[in-house]
Amino acid sequence: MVPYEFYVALSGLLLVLGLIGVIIRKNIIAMLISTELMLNSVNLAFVAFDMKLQDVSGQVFVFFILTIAAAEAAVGLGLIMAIYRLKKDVDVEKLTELKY
Amino acid sequence: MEYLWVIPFSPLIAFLIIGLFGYKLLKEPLSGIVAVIGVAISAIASVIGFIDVATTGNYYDLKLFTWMPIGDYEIAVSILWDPLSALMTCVVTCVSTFIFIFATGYMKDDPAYPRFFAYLSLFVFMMLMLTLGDNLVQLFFGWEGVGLASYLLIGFWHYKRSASVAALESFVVNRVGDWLFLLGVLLAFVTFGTLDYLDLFNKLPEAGYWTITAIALLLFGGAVGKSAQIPLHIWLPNAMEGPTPVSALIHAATMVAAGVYMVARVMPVFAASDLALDTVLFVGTMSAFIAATMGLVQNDIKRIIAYSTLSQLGYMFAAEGLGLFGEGMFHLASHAVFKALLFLAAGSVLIALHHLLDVQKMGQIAKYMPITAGTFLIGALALAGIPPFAGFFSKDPIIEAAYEINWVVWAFLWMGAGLTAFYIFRLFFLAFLDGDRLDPHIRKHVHESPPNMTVPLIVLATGAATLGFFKEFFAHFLRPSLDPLSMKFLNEDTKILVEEGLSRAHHVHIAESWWEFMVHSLTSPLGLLALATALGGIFVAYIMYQVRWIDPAWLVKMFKPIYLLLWNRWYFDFFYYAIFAYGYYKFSKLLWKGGDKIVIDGVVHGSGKVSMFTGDILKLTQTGRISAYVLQMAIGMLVFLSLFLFLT
Repeated sequence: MVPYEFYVALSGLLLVLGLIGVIIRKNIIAMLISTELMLNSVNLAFVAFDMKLQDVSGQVFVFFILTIAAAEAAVGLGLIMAIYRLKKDVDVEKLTELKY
Repeated sequence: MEYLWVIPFSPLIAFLIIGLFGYKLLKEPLSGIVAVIGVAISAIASVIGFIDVATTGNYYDLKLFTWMPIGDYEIAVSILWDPLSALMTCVVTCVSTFIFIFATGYMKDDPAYPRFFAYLSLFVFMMLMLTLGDNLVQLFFGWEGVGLASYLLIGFWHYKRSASVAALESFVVNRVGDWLFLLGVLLAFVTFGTLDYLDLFNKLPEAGYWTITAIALLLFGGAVGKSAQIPLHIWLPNAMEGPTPVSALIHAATMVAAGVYMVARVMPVFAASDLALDTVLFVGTMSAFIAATMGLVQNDIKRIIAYSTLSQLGYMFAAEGLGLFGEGMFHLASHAVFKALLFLAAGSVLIALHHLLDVQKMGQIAKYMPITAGTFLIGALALAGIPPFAGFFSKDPIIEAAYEINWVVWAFLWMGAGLTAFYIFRLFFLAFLDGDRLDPHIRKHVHESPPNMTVPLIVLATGAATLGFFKEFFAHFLRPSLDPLSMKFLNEDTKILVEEGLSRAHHVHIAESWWEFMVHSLTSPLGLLALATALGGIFVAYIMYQVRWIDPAWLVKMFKPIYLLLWNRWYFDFFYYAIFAYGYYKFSKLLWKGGDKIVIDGVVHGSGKVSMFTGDILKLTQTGRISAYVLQMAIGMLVFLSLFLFLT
């Protein structure tokens, strides 16, 4: 049996990878995918702690997060489509209207 | 005695009616008539109440309704009807009635006719609140109210710059006195826990000498402002910018006498402190003399009479300071009558001469206006103290009693009496007799005033001629209010205290009946000296301004420094201007430059500049790139999470 620390470590690794992805990628779609990665790393942590604590509520959270992630992906992709139609571009380096 | 509530509220109702419907419905003659009816009703009611008090010798303390409760003490709108307030109320309402009637003629064709009568009615209401109240708060309410009405009426012709400036000046100078007065009221409340006169008098022996002195002096500060005594006298001569009935009613007969009335009203407080009485005596004597000297050289017909008002009020205060409160109040009553007469006669002249004020440009008006001239002569004789007119019976007792108490005071009052006779007859000769100096254009139009102006003159002249014969009646009448042994509402301790305070006048004997007094006065050297002084003043005025044996211009050259001193009114106005007006201006400028520009503007602009500077720096972080924001957020989370990790 794999000890739960391994799962938590994997979850932390995935979260950092996702964060780095959000920070360094220039394409909005890639950023969205990185966000999904972070969400799923959290899911993994939930399941791991659930196994450790013998408690079902962690799994319940996972289902919630899965559902919301699906909805979020739909909304996010819709927004990206709208931005693309408006600007013909999905590069965040060029979408900097909202500064001082 | 329930009907007494009519006295103050009938002018108030008249004020409301005229104020609401004056311009639209009542218009010119009717609003004046409503005002006259309003004040006449209260005059009749007060005369009925006066007769009741005179026959029974009772006093009534009616609480009409509670105005405001303060802790255990309830301030009530009330009527204290005793001989003193009855006398003052009668003087106010009766003199007002005649002045109102006169004003219906004087203000004829003025575009703001209803407003004038609304203000006059308001003034009478406030004055009656002042005289009738049984506590210091109601007195203060009336006190401020008459100040307001006086301000409105001095500035009645507000389009004249001088009038609005004079109104403001009177208000500001009065504020100085009112401020002291309010402090006195507060100190009295803190000390005694009550402001009702009767409770306050009975608690007097409990308080210390210096507390009572402080209360009395602060209250007297208010009287100095309201009664225009030196050093707060400067507003009254300038107040002559108002219409003449206003000068007669407010600035001669009633409002300026409020200070004298107030001192008599709280007489036990003043009597309990000899320092307070000495202050009253000093200020009164100085005002009586200095104001009389200022009156010598004025050329404005109303200002001469105004300075004489200052001087006569000084006599009243001097009488009160000598402990002769009854004589002071009697002089107040007779002065109200003959001074109102003098002002109304002057007003009648002004109407005939189209508001020409300079007496040097008048002359021989008596030919055209015999009634005005005759009544003015009676008023002038009364003012000069020639027997048997009212002034003789009210002013001479004060001067003669002063000799037996303090000869320095007597000397000043005696000289003042001579000067009084001189300046009022200088005015009389210059304006009514003497050579013909009138502008021919004006002379064509000069004619006697209509009956609604001459009848009040005749009535008041009758009063000025005969009031003195009631000397004995007034002395007896006022005793329950001003003689500690006969004051029913004082307890024994207070009676002793007041009696001691008034002991300075105990050895003075003034004959009560008018006949005895006249005989005594005309046979004793002191009385003869006073009479000779008055006649001498008239004679000097006669030879200087009527037969011109002495040229006034030559006298001016001979005594240039004295003339300049008097002409510039002892430099009081300049002094106040230099110290207060200019000093205040400089001080304000300093505050503006130092306080406002540097400190306040510095703080306001500085905080703005700091915000802009920090904003300029912090805005560099707002690049608009999502990656940067996420990085900042991640670093922030890292910092806080590590804080949790290491601190817990």
